[in-house]
Amino acid sequence: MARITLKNVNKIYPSRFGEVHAVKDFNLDVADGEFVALLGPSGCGKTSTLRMIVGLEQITSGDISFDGRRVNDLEPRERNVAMAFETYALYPNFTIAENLGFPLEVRGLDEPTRKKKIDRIAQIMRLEQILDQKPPSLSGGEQQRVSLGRALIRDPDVFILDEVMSHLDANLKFQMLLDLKVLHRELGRTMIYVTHDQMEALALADRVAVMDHALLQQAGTRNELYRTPANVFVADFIGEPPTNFFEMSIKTNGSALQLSNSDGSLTLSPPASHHTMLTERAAMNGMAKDVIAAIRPQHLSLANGIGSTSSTGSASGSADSASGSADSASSTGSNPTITAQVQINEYLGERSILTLKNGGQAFRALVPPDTATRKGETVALTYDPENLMLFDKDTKQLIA
Amino acid sequence: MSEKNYKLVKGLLLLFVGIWLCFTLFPLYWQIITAFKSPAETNLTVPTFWPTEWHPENFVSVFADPGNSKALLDSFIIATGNTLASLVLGTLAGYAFARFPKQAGGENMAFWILSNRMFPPVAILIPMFFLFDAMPWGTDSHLSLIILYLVFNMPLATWLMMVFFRDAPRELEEAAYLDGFTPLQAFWRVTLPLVLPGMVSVGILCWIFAWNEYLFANLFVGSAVRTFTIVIPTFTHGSQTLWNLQMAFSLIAMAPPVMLFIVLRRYMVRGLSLGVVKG
Repeated sequence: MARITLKNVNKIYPSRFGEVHAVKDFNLDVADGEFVALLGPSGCGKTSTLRMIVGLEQITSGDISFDGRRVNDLEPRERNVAMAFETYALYPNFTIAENLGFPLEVRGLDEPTRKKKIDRIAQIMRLEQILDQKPPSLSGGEQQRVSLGRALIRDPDVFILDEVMSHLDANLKFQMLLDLKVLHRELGRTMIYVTHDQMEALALADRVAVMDHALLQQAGTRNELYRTPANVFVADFIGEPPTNFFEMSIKTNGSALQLSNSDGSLTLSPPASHHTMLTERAAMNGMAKDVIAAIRPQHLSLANGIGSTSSTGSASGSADSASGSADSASSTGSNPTITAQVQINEYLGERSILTLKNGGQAFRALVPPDTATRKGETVALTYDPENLMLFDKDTKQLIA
Repeated sequence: MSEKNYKLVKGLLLLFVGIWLCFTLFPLYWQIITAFKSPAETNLTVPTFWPTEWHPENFVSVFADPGNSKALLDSFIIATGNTLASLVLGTLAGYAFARFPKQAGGENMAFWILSNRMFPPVAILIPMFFLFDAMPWGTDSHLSLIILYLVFNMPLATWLMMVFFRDAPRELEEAAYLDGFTPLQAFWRVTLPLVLPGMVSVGILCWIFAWNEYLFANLFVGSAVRTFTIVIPTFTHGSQTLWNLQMAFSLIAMAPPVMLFIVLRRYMVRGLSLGVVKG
């Protein structure tokens, strides 16, 4: 069991074309027994971070400690970490039983004790039938279970999983997610899971650390990441389909406050709780007036069931600026609405994704699967202002 | 492809292979029949293509000189000694180049080692003779040729082993480090078994080179140690060559590499196809 602390960790790779800064000033505290996922697109530095934790990569600067003990200069075998690799890394010329027993052998355990432990792990990982086979004859899922079993067998303080599901098909993935969740609950080990798949990260981890461009963008629970993403990248990366972003500026008209795009064709109403802050920003000079507003496709819903009714609002059938602003202004009291033209209606089984267009702005909404709108139809969409996220246009950081 | 064309292509292929086999197998055929002929029959103006009388005793007479059997043994000691040395050095060097290229001197160093294999051996014949003459073991010893042949075999072994190690997945070693092994243990238990087929084929190549070498052996050794390659010309005396004995002795000398190849051919094929097709 161990608490892992990363303090100002940097990784710089020297290369022929100058230095590559793979991890920048990384700070993270992983509590004892916590399950943390490192999530980010490929090349964001998550694997470098993980390799520094296990000791396969030198730390350029900063400190990594386990339970307060600095481990920077310890060899991997001295850190008592176990790792499951993306490529499984099973020893091809050993049987499954030998693969599982390998870490025990080096620790000098005698044959009967090894046998007992191998049998126990084989039972947990459902490997009893294949103990005397060799890795190349196993399926991907079986190989992955062996790889996890080999990591678990010696009771590591820290358990690290590197993209372990990227080669499994969807069915196996679900089984594996369940297995991992159960394992974590039963063993209570500190686990770090590296992935580029947000579904895996959000499903498994107590906390998710999102990385991009060598920087830790945000570490938080799935709710925090979903509700209050630290910046535009996190808002965009977390959530499926991706969040809709609108470049807006703050418009004040007496006591009324609205967000409006450059040609005024689209307006959004921020929640009342943000009015004071936004009024202050609007009073400032320069860029402060410009914000990026974001709303998730899940938070947009059709105003009157199926949106064809809104065609009465704009007789021409196209979303012009007048109808757009009129709608949102008229709906004080109830939730505000946006009108837009349907571009694509994608049916995805238990839901449909509408791709909509308002003037030059394209965005998506998640609607019930039986929605029968067609291309070119104009619909009205309603949203709860509380679900609106606002980011500074310059720094891309969350402001409200 | 139509049935007719297919047959035509197949026929042409068989024709080509037949002609090729005639060219390559004729010397071997000639060697075998000559080895069984009498001395008189080998010197006929119109040669016979099948021995009129078979003389298997030729294979015994070649050993009338006890030095001849010792020459085979000497060749075996030198070839085997050199192969082991090449494999040990080449494997370690190849591993270093594959895993720690920067510390091992980089690509340039690896190419320099390979280039040692490429210059004409005769260019270093004289300097090497004086160099080895100054050594405590002298030129006329097993050790001198075992070391000398490293000039040619070690670059080959290093380079090929480097390629095999590059193809061996690095994660396996990393997994072994995390499982608690030291780098040396991981190398020995995990990586080396993976490149074993490659090592066997490299070993065969080294062994055959050292077994067949004539130029250096002819100059370096000759009295205390004689390789079979310098024994073969001794069947020529003044105006006369004992062709039948020379061929019989050559056939005997061909046997070990052929047997080696047959026994290890499974490894050889796997080794040479390593890196070409990945499992």
